[in-house]
Amino acid sequence: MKKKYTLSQMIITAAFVLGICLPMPLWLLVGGRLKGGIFSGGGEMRDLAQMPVLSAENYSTYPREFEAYLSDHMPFRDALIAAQSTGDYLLFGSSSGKVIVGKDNWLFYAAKDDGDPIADYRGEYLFTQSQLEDIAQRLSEMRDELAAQDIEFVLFLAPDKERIYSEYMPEEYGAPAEKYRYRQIYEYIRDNTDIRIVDSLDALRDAKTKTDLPLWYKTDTHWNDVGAYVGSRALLAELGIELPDIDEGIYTPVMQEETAGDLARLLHLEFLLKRGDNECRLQGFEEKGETVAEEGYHSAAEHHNSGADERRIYVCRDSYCDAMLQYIGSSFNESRYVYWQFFDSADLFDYDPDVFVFEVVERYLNELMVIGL
Amino acid sequence: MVFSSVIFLWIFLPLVFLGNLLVGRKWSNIFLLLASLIFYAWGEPVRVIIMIFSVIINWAAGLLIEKTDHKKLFLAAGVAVDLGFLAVFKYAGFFADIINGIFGADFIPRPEIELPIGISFFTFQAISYIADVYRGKAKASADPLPVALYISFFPQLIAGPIVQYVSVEEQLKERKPGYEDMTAGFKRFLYGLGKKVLIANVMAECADAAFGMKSIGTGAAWMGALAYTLQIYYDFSGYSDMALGLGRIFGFRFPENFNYPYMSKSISEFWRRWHISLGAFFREYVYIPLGGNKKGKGRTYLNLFIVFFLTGLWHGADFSFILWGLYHGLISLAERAGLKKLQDKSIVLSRLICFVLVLFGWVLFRADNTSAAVNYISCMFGAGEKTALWELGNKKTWVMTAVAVIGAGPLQSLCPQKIKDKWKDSAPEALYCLLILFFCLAALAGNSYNPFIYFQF
Repeated sequence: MKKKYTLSQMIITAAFVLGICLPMPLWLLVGGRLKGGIFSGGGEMRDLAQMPVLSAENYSTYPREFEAYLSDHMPFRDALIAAQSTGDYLLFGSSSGKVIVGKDNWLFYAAKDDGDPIADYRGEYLFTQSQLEDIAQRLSEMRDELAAQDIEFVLFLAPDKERIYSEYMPEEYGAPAEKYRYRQIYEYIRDNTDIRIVDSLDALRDAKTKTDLPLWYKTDTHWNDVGAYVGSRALLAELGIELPDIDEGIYTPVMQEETAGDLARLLHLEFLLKRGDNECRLQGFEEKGETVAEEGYHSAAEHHNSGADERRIYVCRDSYCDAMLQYIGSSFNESRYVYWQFFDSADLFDYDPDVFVFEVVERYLNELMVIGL
Repeated sequence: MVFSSVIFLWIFLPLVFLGNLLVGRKWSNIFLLLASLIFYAWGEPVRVIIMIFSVIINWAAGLLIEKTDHKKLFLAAGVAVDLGFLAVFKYAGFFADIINGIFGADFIPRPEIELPIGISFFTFQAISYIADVYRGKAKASADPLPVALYISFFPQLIAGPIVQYVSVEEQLKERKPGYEDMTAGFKRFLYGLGKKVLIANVMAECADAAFGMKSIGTGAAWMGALAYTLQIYYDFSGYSDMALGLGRIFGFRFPENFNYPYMSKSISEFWRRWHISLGAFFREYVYIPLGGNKKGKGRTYLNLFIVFFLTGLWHGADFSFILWGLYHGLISLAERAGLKKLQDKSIVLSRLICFVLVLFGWVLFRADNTSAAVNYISCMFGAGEKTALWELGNKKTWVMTAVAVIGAGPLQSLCPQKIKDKWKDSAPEALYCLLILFFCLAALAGNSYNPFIYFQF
């Protein structure tokens, strides 16, 4: 009698064939054509593992190296990651360890090994008195050294996104702490030194009341063009350059095309989340001059302009300055922007600026403990 | 190579399955042996030689036990070599610590020897072989191939179950895996894969966060302990499911290793449901040879004490594991001495109490050392700093915890037999397994995704 195969057995067989036997040969045949699809995402910002070559030297480590390579290049990886992220996002409203999904699909950065913004939000790791004194000492020495070269020094602080949009943080994280490092640093430097320090926090909170549009991207760690304008306006005011406020009718915040930011990329959900976020820009503002960037990732850039402030300004910065550049650059004839990870005082003195600005976002305030020329 | 990895799922398993089909029954044993050696060598490229050596020694010992008049001598020699492997590779550092603790630090140098993968399992399998031959329960194999395959077979090589030779002796010689074996085996494998990837790994994140804190709030400490209790069950039983499933695919029927242990009403029952093969090994080769319960109450208690001591020691070369074993042993002895009469009064209460006792045992097991365990337990009773639950996990963690608790026994216990019968081998069940496979593959891909905000140079 012919053996009858049950539907259950056929489904299991199909699972085995499709899910176990076929993926690798299928990928080897057509994988190249499937790369770069809608699930491909913006990349992981790291070098993926390379295919190891077996030799006598790496015989004992070859299996681990090969598995690392396979992990980074597994068949249908982008689509599977997108499936997992989408499932987590839609079913649990939750996220990876690096991203918190807040209310109304606001995303917040939570990486503990990259500044730990949630610790800042909760008021943890406050600076000790000794640390505050040390920072003040360093900044003062830096200011004096610059002053000896006739260079003005300004410290600019930008707050974390959680600080401005705490109302979108999940309930379980509670209200932001009343005492936190950003406020500590600002008040200590302001009250105990004569260093010029710009706090953009109050200006941003004030700007929130003047526009319905967000000052930060929902799906990115950074402020948008409107938020960056508010921050830049505070900085430029310290440098004696007045820009109109966003409610004076000269520049109007407007919502523009959809976008998905770096936090959406961390979740590998750009394809899903881009509909939830928009570029916000200032209608009426036109950037003056031209930016010339050196080659390479996080490379230095210079902005050349004319008819603006003649002082040369050198900004030692992090990525928050990306959106500020158009406003600072338009206000000065010559400006240079260097990431502080790649800062070299020789480059600064070579440029011979009139003003040196150190711009740092809240989660990287620890940089102030190692700052120096 | 772990079962829940891309290399196993998409390269090793399909190649071995198809290769085994192609070579046919006649060459199946040698093919599976080669595959198993490759499997082991992938994780231990150099120390695979230890396992090969163990195979040769035990195969030879089996023959010498059967064919000579010095049975006891060769059994003792074989067991000594097997335990010698463990003594050197697993316990040398521990013994050195004990000696240095007694005679002063640096009395003897502490050897830093990395533990070869699976040595605790394949060594016990080897002992099982020569012991079964000695007792006449199994025939020594003149052909080294079945013995080699028995000791090194990849499904149970790394994490068991510890299969007694006598239970697979005939299967090593004669087996005809059919379509039903393939589908039933793969289905079992998928259940195990889901337990490991979808539940155990999520519980692990929570447990690691909790046990990684120096001070932890009461609620969070209990949550962390629960998470570990679930993690170790789903991880270990998931692995056993995968091993049994893989064995079935290739025509082997291995014994069950877990039977909803968290539904136990006593610690004695727990050890009949948890890591059943280990309990069976110690019963068969330690407890019964020592006299079991046949030599009076006092001797029974001593024998049980020895078994639980060895159980703890087998799990790891640290006093915390021995303490864990003895903790279970003491409760087991108390049950024998009369505690069980109290437990029998209420099934629900006895299950709850047993679960809590087991949970405390897992704290001893998981903590870095004994003092860390004591600290953690004190945090469970309020000695620690307040901790927000979100520091241990997120919504996914809580949902999977609920799923894990329900799936660890209550669902199986409360579900009517009619529904269980209808579900078993049904098309919806098969579709459910297909979904598990998809989610597992997605999770494996997701775990490989390691993005950064800025480029990492």
